[in-house]
Amino acid sequence: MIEKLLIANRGEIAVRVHRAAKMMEMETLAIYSEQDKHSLHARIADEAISLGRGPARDNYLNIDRIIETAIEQDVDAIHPGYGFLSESAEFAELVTSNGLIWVGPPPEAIRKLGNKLESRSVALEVGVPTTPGTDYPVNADKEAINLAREIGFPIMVKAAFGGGGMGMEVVRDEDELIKAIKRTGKQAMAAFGKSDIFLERFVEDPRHIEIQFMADSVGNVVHLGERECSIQRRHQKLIEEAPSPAITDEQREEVGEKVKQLAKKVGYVNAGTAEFLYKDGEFFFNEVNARLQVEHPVTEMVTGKDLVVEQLRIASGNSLSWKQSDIEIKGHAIEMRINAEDPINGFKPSPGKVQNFEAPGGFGVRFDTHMYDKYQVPTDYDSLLGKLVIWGENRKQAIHRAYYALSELSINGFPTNTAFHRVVLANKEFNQGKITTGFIDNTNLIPYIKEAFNRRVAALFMTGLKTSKVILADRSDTKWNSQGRSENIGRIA
Amino acid sequence: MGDKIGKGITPLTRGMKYQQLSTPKEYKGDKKLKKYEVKINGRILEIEYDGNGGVIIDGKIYNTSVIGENENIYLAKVEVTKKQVHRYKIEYSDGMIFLEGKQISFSSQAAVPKLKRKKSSRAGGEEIRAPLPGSVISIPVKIGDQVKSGMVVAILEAMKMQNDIQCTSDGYIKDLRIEEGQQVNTDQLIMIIAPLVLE
Repeated sequence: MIEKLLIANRGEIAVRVHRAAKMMEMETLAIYSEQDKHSLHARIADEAISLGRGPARDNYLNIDRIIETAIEQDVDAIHPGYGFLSESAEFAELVTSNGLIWVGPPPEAIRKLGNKLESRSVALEVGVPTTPGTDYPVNADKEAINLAREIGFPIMVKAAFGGGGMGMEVVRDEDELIKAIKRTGKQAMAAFGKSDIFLERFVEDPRHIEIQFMADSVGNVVHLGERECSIQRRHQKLIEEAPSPAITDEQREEVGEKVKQLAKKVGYVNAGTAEFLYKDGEFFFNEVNARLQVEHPVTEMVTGKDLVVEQLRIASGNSLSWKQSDIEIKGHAIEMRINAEDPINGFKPSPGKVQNFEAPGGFGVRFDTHMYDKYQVPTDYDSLLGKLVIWGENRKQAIHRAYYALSELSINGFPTNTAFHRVVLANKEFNQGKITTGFIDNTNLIPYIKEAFNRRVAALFMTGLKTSKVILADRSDTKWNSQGRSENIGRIA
Repeated sequence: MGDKIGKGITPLTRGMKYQQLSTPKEYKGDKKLKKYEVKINGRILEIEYDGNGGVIIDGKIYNTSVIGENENIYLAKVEVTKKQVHRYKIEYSDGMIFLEGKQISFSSQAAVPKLKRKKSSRAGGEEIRAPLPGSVISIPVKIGDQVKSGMVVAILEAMKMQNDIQCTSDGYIKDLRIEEGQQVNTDQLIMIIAPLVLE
């Protein structure tokens, strides 16, 4: 039984977990850094404890501090959200060894899946389709070249313990291979402390497709279909949807069943996601993310299942609420990540103070955020401000609804990437479902965003001129009303 | 016939059409242009006005006019080309400005020389300042190093992203005010680049 839950995260996901916990009548305890003192997650929690000012390693990543706090505050369980400590086997182990409940997979499963070579070999074993490649670490020698020839170029040189786009290099011919192995090994050693390198065929311009699954501690596993996350920039996902416009019901069943086998094989419990690259009808296993994901809401929208509530139920010792036959994919969902990034300025971070904020509404519209009026976006964390999640009866309807909802979303005070999403949704290829991970690089969208912005600037400027006292245009065509006039004084100085 | 001109939020089908349309014309007039500094939602930009409805942004001309008004609500027309005309509803209410029904911060003022501008030219040297708050994680140059315009002189990490800071002039590093790993605020001075003295 979980009566009190510590949420070891911040931002929108801490808010998301809090909501689920309150629904289940749990008490919540938030932790926060001083930079996040005015963050919504700290405000809405039943109790909130400051872990002081400083970098994440001193607070959100401070394993000992968090465990200590959990014990002092007499919590029953810890939910790690995503990012931060969510995939730390060490943390998960300490949580359980201190008699607390870990809302996540067992540490052994996290460990196994965290090693890309090991997860790859388990995938092979249960028949999950993998990328052709080596099943063991290679050295920078002649044998590596022979192996690469067998696999076929281009080759992806990959660190077994890499992640987040780090410790990966694409090699197109033999001459580069040895250098690339050495280089990637060095990087991996520096970043992850382990230099094991393996080789895989590089799948060019694929789709990114992932399967959500959920397992309980008595061996039941269900999959909840796929999400397509091909719209990404520099390995950062921007738009996710479910189902994928490329996947058939048969493919979903086939890969879904294999993923369930994989989960069983590693003794997985709780929510997880198997990531694949997909091209020309073929799936290539990439990795398992042993945690809840940012884009989990699109799965919730098309299945009608609350994944976080189920996470908490399973962690409390219940068995899965659903059988596979309970999982039906209904309609289509799209998630757009709203970031404090300026698309017409090279996607530079653009944090600021929220002067005013209004979320879109209506049927099939959901906005998960930690923003509120006058919220100052801290610069210490990532730029995610919220997630606009839209449901429609079909993909076309979802896109239309999303396009309009974006126009209702008002974040005033600093630039966001909202206009970028509108331009993607209005793109012909996107509408036809012709998307790959290269979409943003291969589609020149920025000029349209810039154009739309310029037009609005011109309109605002002209109206400002016309209504201001300073530039005396043709007085006769300007009908002043006293209110308008007094308001406008000073706007154009 | 021509396109139907909307006056509300652009619907998706119209938005799709815009992605196949031409861009506005370059400004080629010889009128004396007045410069303005515009602040919109945290962005600052400089635009020019030809006194006759022509707003010049990035060297391109947008022909604008106010075609309707109803108390404090105005309808602005922006003509990009003869075929591509846009209308925007702008409302002034209680000190707030609403564009297409959404509140927006907007102000403009005649640009005067005292406006903050980056002191730089290819020959004149420059001050490198932080474009946003964050931590300077790398400074690949040291005092006395020669630099060329476009070189990365510092890397700023903000919001979990690395941002290259480039210099825009040739010269040498005259002074470094920040050490690697140090936190900076917006506009904080990072280094000074002085021009190379030519004989």
